[in-house]
Amino acid sequence: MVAVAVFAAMAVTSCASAANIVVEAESFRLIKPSMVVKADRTASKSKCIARPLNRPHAATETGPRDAGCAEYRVRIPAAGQYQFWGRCWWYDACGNSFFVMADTTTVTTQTPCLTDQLFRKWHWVAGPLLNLSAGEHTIRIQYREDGAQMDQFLLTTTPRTRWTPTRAATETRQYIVR
Amino acid sequence: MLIGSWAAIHLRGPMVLRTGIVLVLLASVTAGAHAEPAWVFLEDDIAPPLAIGGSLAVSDPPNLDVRLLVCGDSREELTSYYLLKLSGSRCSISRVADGETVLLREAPMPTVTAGTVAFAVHRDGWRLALLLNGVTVVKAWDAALTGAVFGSMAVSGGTVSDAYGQEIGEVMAADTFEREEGAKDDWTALSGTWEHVSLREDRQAGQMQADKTTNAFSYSGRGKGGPGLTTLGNWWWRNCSYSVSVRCRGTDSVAGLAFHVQDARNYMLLRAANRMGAAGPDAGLALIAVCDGNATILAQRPGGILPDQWYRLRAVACDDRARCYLDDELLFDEPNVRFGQGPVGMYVEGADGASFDDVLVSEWDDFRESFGPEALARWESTGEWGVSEGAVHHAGPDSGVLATGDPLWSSMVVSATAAGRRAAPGLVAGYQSPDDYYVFRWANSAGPSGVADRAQLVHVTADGEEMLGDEPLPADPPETLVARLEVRAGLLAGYLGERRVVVAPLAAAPEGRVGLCGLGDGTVSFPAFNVEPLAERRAARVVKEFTDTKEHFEMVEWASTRHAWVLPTDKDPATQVWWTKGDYYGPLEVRVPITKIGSVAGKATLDLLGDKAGQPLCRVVIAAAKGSTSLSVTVTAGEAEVGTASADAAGEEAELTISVTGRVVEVTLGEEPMLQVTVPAVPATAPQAAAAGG
Repeated sequence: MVAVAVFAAMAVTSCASAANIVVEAESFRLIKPSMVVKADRTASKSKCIARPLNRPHAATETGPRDAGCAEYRVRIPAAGQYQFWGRCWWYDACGNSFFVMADTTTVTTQTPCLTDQLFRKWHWVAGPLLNLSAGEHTIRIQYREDGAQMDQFLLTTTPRTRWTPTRAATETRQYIVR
Repeated sequence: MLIGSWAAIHLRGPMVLRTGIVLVLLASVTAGAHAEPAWVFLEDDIAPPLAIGGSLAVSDPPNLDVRLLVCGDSREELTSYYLLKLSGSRCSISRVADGETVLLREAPMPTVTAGTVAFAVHRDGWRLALLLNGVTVVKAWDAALTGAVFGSMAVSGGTVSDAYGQEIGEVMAADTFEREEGAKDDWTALSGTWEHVSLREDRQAGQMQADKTTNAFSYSGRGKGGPGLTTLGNWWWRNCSYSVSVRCRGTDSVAGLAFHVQDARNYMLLRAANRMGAAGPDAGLALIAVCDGNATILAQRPGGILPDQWYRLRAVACDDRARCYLDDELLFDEPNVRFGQGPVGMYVEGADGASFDDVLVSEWDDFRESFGPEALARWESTGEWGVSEGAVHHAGPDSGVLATGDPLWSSMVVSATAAGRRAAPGLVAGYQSPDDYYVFRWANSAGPSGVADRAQLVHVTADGEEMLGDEPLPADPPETLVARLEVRAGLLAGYLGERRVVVAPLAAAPEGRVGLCGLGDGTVSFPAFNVEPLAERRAARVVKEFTDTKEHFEMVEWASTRHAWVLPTDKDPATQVWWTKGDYYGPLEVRVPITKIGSVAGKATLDLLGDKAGQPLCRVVIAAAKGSTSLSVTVTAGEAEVGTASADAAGEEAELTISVTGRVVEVTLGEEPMLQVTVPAVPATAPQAAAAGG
């Protein structure tokens, strides 16, 4: 009976928590036009970043007009492969992407982007897999198409085949360098 | 056995391992003590709705005793949780709370051999389900517990490892394939050859049907030494609606919609054979379970799809029941599908291949009851209710309510086949308690006094009944009929057959369980009861940028994303009117994004449910003034103003939503209700078109 009591009192952790870094899009270190901060009651904390629509809105894949962006400094707790997720709102098929850059400011043909085909609804979009060392890194979200908005982004060591963010998350301020 | 399972479960970290060994030794020297191991908890809280995945390593199948804990309230002082037990012969779900264990459901354990089995637990609203290798083995319905702790306990015969949790928000995925060819996407080709194509290079481009595919881009697949299958989505998709547009090329191809895909050899398939293809056992339309590459036909009917024509395939799955549709026509209603979770897939056979477009996955939550012997286990009752001969019956003289479902259910359609003899049957929604619910009830001329020959919507409270709507029935209804109660934001509507007989505007949709009601001295019977989400609303949008058909000649048929609008002949933007091509009957919702609020003055006019030749049901005028973020809305019917309101948009952009349900017009700014009015006049005939004026 003694043994039963001891066992029952023991709470054993079987599954270590994955490293999740959540950043509100408005928690940038710098923002450059034409990227703007926008009030939006449907976004987490009622704010997001947006690349406003051009008038007329692009109807072709013409490429961005400028290098508007928001930059974030994050502290990575442990080296690893981090899946990037962005909580985004897209205007349409010609306004549904951002460039995602880690520790670089130069866009090349290899620069990954964040995109999918679910329009006019906040939802999580899978981005690139980033190889990050422990320590501080710069994440840059850059204008690729007008009409795109981002509410939050998330870096996780959990592979996307196993876990997908589905709700707005709580910002992990301990990983954000101001 | 005990030591073996402990050693396995604790091989995760040196500290835990040491602790485990010490305690196991202690247990082994305690003569006669039957020690159960401790719960092993996931470190993170996971609030429902949720899915848990993991591995179950079975070493001794006959002596298997593994327990899972879901919705626990605490790791330190565990007092309530759902207990899922797997043994060699049975699996069960119980609710443990306040020292009491209530068995909710039990089922035979499927044959499991020694080896590793993938398990999954789903907790979604009032549902609980345990799956092994993607197949549901036991499920239960109970809304009582909402804790966020998950744990496992391996007593004997197996070990649990690698558990991981997935919180579930809104399930939603869409792909219209509007991207440049070769662009990276999230589809995973499991077999066959797949490519992204633009119809501008397609010989059939001139024959496309704009109402079946929303743009000029699609995905193309071909079989290669067997069928082709490509998938999108998550392992935890379970209760969802899946749909895709398909078009076979040539006569040898077959197209299909796969769902609950496990891998290339295990999935559910809605298969549409080519009507120009060879006759044989594979011809027609079929719902198929593909297990280890072998197809088992669960349901089949004649028919198929013609080559070079778009069709819409749809499957809705909930609680392992699947209903399948071809162009919105119900094909199959299969109560037990093989697999219970997994991604969606596009399926093709034949070298000619098929095109796919407009994939849409969304949450689906329905409930069907046919009142079998165990049916009342899912129901809570007041009054005298009994089940016999495949129906539930209520006998007077006291009134009675039978309630079921998720306490958070809100916008939905409740329907039942109902028969009343000297009594009033009713449908219940927003059920919080016997003293707080809404009921749609009716009776023929033999019904109880006050309800006879009437249809009523009533809010029952502790203080009595509040009559929300009360209409005489135009004809004495038959004793047996199908009744429907629609619960939507701002409105309750009762239907007998296809005829709406009573409505009641409400400030908000009532939330709560659903059910049945009986009133009067006689008897009421219900052989069938259904709950479904409200009908999907199809979007029509004006996107002027896409109407540049010189730039996008392939988009001529797709000038907007769906249901092209008639281009205005009037070139003056101040007076031109955009008319939709579509015919709109029933509820209508128009969403108007408004920009530059405060920086410009402007006015937009919407004529709702009218046609170009006649008078609209009503007109909505939206006005904005320079220097103010306030928007005003005025609703008129003919010459009469029926309502006006103003609200602060609190920004330079906002979305205004105008909903029309019957004669009730509601205006919402963002998420905030702004105006609700009842328009006095109803057109004598159904209108032909909805119009937007600007």
